[in-house]
Amino acid sequence: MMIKYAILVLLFAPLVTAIVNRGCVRVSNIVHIIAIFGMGLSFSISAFLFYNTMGFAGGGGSGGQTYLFHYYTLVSFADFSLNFSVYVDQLTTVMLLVVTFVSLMVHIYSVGYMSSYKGFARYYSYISFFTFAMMLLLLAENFLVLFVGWELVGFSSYLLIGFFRDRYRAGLAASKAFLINRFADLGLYIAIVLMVVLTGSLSYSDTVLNASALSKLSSMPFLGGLSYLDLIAFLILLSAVGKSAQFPLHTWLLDAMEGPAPISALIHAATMVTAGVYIIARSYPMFMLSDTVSIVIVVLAVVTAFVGATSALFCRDIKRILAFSTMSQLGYMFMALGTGYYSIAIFHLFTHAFFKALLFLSAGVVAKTLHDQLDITKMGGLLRRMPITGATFFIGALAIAGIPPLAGFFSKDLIVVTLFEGAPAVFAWVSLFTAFLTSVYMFRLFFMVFMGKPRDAKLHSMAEERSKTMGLVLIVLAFFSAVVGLLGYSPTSGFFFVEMLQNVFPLHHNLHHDGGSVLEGTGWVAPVSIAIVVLGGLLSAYLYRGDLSRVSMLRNRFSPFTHLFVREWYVDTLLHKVIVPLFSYLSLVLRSIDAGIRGFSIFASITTRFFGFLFGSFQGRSISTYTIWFVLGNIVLLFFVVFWS
Amino acid sequence: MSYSIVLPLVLSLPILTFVVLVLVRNINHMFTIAIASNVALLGVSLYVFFDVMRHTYFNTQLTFFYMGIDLLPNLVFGFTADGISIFFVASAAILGILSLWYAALTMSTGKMTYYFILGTQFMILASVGFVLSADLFSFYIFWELTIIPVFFMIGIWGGANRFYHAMTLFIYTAAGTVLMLVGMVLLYVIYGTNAIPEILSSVIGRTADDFTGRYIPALALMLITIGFLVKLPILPLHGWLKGTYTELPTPAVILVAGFIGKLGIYGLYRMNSYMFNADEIMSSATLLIMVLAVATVIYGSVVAFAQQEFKSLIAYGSFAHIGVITLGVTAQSAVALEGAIYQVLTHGLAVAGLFIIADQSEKLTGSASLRSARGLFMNSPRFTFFLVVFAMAFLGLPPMGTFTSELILFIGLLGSVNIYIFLGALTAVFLSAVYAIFLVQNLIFSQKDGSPSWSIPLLGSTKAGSLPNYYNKFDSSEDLSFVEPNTTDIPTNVVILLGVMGVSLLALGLYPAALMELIKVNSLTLRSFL
Repeated sequence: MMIKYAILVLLFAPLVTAIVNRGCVRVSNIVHIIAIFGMGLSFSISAFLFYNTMGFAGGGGSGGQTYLFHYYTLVSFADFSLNFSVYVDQLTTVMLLVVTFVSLMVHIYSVGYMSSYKGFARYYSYISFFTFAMMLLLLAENFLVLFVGWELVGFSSYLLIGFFRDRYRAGLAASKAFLINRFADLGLYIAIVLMVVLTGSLSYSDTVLNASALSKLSSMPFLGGLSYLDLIAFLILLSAVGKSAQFPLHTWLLDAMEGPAPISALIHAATMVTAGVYIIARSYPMFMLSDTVSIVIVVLAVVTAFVGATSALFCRDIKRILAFSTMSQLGYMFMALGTGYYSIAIFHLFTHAFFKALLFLSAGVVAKTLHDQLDITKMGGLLRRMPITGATFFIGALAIAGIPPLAGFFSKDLIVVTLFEGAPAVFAWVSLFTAFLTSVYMFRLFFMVFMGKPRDAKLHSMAEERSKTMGLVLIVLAFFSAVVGLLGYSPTSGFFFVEMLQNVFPLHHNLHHDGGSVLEGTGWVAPVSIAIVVLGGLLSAYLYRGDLSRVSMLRNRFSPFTHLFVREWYVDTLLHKVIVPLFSYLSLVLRSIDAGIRGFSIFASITTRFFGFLFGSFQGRSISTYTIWFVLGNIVLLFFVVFWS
Repeated sequence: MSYSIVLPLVLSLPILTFVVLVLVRNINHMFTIAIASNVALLGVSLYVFFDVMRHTYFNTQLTFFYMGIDLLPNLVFGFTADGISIFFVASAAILGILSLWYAALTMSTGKMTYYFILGTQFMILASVGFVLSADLFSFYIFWELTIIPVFFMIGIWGGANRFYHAMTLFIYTAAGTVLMLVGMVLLYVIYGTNAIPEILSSVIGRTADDFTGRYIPALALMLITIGFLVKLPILPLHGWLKGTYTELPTPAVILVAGFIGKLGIYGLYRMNSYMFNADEIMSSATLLIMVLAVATVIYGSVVAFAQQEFKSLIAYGSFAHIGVITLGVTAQSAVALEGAIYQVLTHGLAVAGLFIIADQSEKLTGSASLRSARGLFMNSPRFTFFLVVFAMAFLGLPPMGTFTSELILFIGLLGSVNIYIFLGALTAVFLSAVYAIFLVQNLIFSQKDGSPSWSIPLLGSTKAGSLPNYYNKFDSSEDLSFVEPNTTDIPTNVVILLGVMGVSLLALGLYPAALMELIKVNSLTLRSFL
């Protein structure tokens, strides 16, 4: 019973601080204290829930507890009802832990980062509101509450990307993010309506866990050979593609970097974009039973990872490079989702949250001290002046590249292995090549920013470690990035993290099937991937350490490809030069048609005047004319009377 | 409370208020009287609801009030109330309160304001009468009466082209009403009674094989429906929409856009919802209405994006949403109907809030155009906040009321209409975001030098000044002025009003069961026909 209310406190504490900070508190001194207090409260409750669901109290391993609470019914009809209910299991608590922890780190970091900007209170209220929305999404027991959280997360992302309201580009970026997400959310909307109509309920137990019943429903003719289950899975995938910036709906994520760096770390690296991974993991029975959609996921994921990595290779904006890397790593998570190894996807989500937040936050420190200069071709040699930032960034780079024993190695390695096992080999080789590219561009970023000679002396002189709190957060995150990967490894069975989620995802689909671990025969992948990644690091050291002459030579040799990469595969161009102008011209055409329709009453008045003139022309004449008309009219009337009776 | 008192009470309250207002000429008391009476109306209607609900819980049949005064042998004068009627009465009262409240905040205390309050009260009176009538005669009369105050308000408070727009409204509505009258007379001639329930059951149950017996009643009903469709409006009968919504003073727009436009929905429900499946004639006509409704949704949203003025954008956005509501009413589904009726209230609140914001924006920047009103965040934080809140409510962001009602509507819609109609209507969810976000972005974020990549090129101007000016000889020497507010941000009293509206939208979205029960009371009878 206590837990029921503890969950409410967990959920609403950030909302309360958001409302308080937005409306009542203007004094910057206590805004962040209130916000951090609320966030800390949520974090401790989520840690408590994690402890309970993992069953550590009972001695570890299986034996944890799940919770399902129904709070109230919004409305109930004969065939269905809409409820606000909460479901907490191991997946929920793992995600909650990540979200509240990263959010707490960002709250603390922002004290130093946002101190020089106006709107300090508004900022804190927005990030607390975002955390509330994200937790609402995670705690949902049915798709309605999930959808409410999903949309609210999109809305707070809009508020935060457009935080600097005096920048026009921020407004554009925010609108773009909201609209692309809203378009993708149509998928989830239709899926929800479909689920209600087909099963009469939105709760996970009736829809997701009942997926086999859904797959047997005969479906509509226009779907071809697909069943309703395939349709629903595809629609959920559509919304996940939008939210998690998979190809081709990824362009919003790149422009989302207009927002402040801490929120790029929070929203667009660790939490909101992972909601897509979460929703597919949560609905996993549907995807397990739908081979068509799973194949689509794998293809999209590999393409996403590849496009993201190649586009980052020639990008100059430090945050945009990190945005591409987020897109790429999300592609890896989706690869695991597509091949059916859902707990591995969550594991990669988990590790990625730490090192990506770390990377974004240290990039934020750099950007802030250099007065919002984000072009890496103007930086260089910053390691000497910003040792903590540089060192933690290096740790983050090692983690994302996948060098053991840091976090990224374990999770990425598992994903590549399962790709070899569950998908055509070409996808796995592409993902390995992408890992190589990841290493190249990440170390390119590191070398160009922190090593070598400074390219702009004036800029270089501005760099320094400014804030202790920011540095502390970076160190904490670096520690976790280094350590957290070991959760994937356990001496007894080999995969501790996967075991943690065994109640959520049945064990038979997690690395054990047909008698034996799936990893048999794929032990060669790990050394190969390490070798590839180290090779990538060495290559980028060779290319980017000093001047960039070697780079330009390579660039010219491969110029069609590099052109494609620099233009980011022309997806954004398609949006801005084709889709938006088409819509604008359509709206202009319809507006002109509308002016015509509105002018209809002019037509009415013209005809009325015409007929009025016509009939009125009989008046105003002389008596003789009237007499003639009178006589004529009588004759006509006489005819009618005589011949019609 | 015994049933025989209920209807006279609800009906006479607005009439009494109007009479009192005519007699009392003290402007200071007028607002108080008017708002108090509307609050009383709201209270009475909600009391009636609880009473009705308590009694129908124990009855298997829907209770049906009927109060007839026999004038001629077959000409009765009757009124009825069911859950949906009372819901509409409550909505009229709520929007009337908001309209009068905003008028009290922004209109000067002069003689013209007195006439304005009279006009508003007259509109409420006519709407309540319309919603409660059970016979064709009073149905028609009250329908006509709702438009008269609007016509005068445009003519008095409008801008440079007020007469053109007032006459446009009149021509459109008159054309529709004339057709309605023809239809009603036809029905009276065929069936010999003007009581609506009897007519409807006769139309459904008709078995005649000859032309007159089969087709004429359907034709008559369709003529009546056209009258409703003009008022809603539906493509292509919306020519009066933009002029009316931009020329009316904002307190009037709150009532007109928020409620009067939805009276067509009530008409569709009352006259048509029992017979959409009656025979193939009716169902093909219904299909036509559904297709037009979907076209309205797409057309309205796309045209809204192209508008240069704040109020026209909201007008077309509201137009698009009315298409969704119409689809919910014409679909043969009780759930969709309930969602549509609920959306009448939530959409009314959202559009009213947005119009208030538009009015405030006009006061803050001195212009109604979207092009000149950028960067408002700097000096107007409260304005920015409410703009975002109401724009989000308008596009249907959960957990606002508009989202909940729309979701229920679509759930009901899926199984009962053609899949392409369903998907077409669903585009409203995305397209409404397009123009709402465009609106917020244009007003809030600063202007960049040079042309931004999201804007549309201006191809000619659609300013009202390009239309011919025939009638501008009328010049009122009375005080038509509006009170000047604090010009940097919206004043606190407006903030309170907007806050109340925002909180009610949130409450309607988070707990729809409260008012849904009122609507669902009705569906028992409806389900037997569907």
